[in-house]
Amino acid sequence: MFSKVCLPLTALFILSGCATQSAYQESLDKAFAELEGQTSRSVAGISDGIYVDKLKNFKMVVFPKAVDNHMRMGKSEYIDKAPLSDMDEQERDQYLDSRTVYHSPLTYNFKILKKGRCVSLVKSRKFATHLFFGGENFDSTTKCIVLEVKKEHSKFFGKRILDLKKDDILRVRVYLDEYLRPYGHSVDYAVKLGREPYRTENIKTDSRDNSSSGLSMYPIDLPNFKNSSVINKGKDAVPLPKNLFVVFNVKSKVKTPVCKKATLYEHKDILGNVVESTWCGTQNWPTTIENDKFFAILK
Amino acid sequence: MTKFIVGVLLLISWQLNADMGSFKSANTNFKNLFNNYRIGGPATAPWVGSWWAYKNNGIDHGAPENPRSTEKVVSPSKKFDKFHKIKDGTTSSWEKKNHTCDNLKTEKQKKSCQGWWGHCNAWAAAAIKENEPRKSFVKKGIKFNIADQKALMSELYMENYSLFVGNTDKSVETDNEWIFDKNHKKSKKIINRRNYTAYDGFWDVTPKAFFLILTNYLGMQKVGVVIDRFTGDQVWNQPLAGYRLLPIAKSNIKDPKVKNGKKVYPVLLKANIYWAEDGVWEHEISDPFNYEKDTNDNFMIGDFAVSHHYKGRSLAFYLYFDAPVTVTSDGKLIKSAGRIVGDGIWYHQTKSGKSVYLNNNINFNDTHPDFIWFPTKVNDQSGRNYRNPEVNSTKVSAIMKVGEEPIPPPPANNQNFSCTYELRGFFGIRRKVFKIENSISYNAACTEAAAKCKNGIRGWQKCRRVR
Repeated sequence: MFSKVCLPLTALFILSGCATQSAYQESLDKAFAELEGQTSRSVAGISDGIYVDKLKNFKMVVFPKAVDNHMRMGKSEYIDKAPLSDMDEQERDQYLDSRTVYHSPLTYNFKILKKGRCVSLVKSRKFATHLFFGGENFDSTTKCIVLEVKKEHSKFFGKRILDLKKDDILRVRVYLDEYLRPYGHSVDYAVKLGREPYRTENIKTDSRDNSSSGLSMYPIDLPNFKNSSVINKGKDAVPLPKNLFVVFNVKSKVKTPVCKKATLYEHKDILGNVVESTWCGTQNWPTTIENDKFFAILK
Repeated sequence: MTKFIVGVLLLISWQLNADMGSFKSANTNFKNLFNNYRIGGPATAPWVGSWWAYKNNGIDHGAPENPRSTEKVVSPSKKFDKFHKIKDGTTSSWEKKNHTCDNLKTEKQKKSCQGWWGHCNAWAAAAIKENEPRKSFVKKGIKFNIADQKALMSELYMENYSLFVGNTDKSVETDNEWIFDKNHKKSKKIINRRNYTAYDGFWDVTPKAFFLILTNYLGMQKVGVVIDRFTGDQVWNQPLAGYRLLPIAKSNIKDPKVKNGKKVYPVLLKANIYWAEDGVWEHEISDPFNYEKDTNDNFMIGDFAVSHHYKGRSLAFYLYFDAPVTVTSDGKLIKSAGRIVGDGIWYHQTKSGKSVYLNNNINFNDTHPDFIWFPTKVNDQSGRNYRNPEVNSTKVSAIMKVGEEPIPPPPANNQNFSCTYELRGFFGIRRKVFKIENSISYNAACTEAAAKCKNGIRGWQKCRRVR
């Protein structure tokens, strides 16, 4: 039996006195840096807010990551016949290697349900905006959006295959302002196998406290820019993962031209999760989002 | 062989399969969290079990119901083979070949394997997600005792989806030289692609993440999470059974630090965490554990035992705020607080904290959690051979119920605990009565009643508990 020795110390220790050594000072400096940033921190690529009026329906293709080497599946698990047929043996090998790092891509549809001045949505009952924007102090110019996000289901002879189980997520509606600060989300869950009746859960959040955009149940989440710190910023080409499988799929599935000079941001949310996002000049949603769990790109 | 070693090493750095989420914190309001979720835990306490050690060939180990008995007992994997009529006893032979220490080459690995390698991650997940098997049963003429059921559940959870926080590197042995010295050669070792070093890996999970996960998950959602309680190079997965944030003494609210005209307010917080044990006999059934009744606000530096089945640890850490924190006289309620800024720092990482720990001979491996994770569900599609390939949800479900969230026990005799406070003014004249009922404990009812009463105090008025 290997068990740890417990230290049954019953004495109550009065912990007192701050230490002055570097680790303590460093942690304090971090707190100061965050405090400084609270007033000057700009939202990634959208320091003046996104152009809500110009935002149109869009899609994102997502490559969920097999998190670490030991989680990758064996090469034989993947037989993507189409791309393999044109490859020589070496390419084929490289492709299969890269294939084990990512799961098959998924597509998510973003639909703008409502957009407009926030003050006008505070009382509106359409899409239940009053539940999420109500009680907030908006100035008269700030704009808000209601986005509906759905996973695209595969089709068989043109018919959607609904492989739904009880409690699967059907769609999520997120309530954001023009700085992409979340005010809450509404989730529709399936209540039966294979069919589409649903139950809805509304979750109102404090835009200052929530760490995510409200899409955390999908692999397309953005950080809440208001309370995540920018740890890196720069301008460069949109960074595609150096992975043949992703590159091949991006080429065949992504129609949006990827800009040559994008603004790159690396954010760290309140729990230490790091998210990279890139913004092309005219786009109102990140062109790519990447964290430890997924890589997503505008379709 | 390489495959095997990789498989075994999963145990020390496994991240579980790719669920797409990370821990999220819906609420970061310190006052709200502390006042409402100072004490918390999962709705059902996780159960104790064995970690099905690799030194005993994992679940190919039959344990007699009587610990003193020396009789040979059929192992859970052999019963599984027999039940499903699996040819050549593949489940059992796979376990013997893969979840074992016999095939290791280096002395270091053998030593580690003999000590702590096993199914602790899987048991911890099962202990949170499944009801505890408490009775033997016979199916198709095969008797599945408690140990068999716990073993099969544990094997099933060797593959699961999870939420995860904390970087970890298990290749560098903990010693006090490098963990406190950022510039030490061992500290500088890069452990992931974001250039996190071994030093960074040792000192996360940050106090802020720790506080937010405890309060948001165990407190608000009443779900269990698993911690690696061994801060350094080993992995000891334990499912948390509860936590307590201890009352804040006024002396622990420190003077503000000023920089460029901005102020940061440090507060030293103390917490107790409690977990279920896996160093128990395979057939044991958990003692009852109630995170409110069976815990207290005493700070015992280091680890302590609550019972044979549940253990705990006291931890202290600084959080920083952007406005002053004020508390009630008993320190159990926050009157006002700013927002948390920065990640905070573990008390044992500070100079004074380090010396307290050293003076009490407390090993720094027994301090903050090395990582925290939350199992979401079993993963039958992983395609890797980390779990015994014969074991999956369908086959285990054929034997017993799995995949159902644990049922919280009903409150004892459906009893409600009632506590009354009176707000009295001059000459003891009663002004208001606050009566609170709580189904869990008398203390909880009183804490709530006292808080409500104190909020109503004006001028000379006083609160008094009615006996």
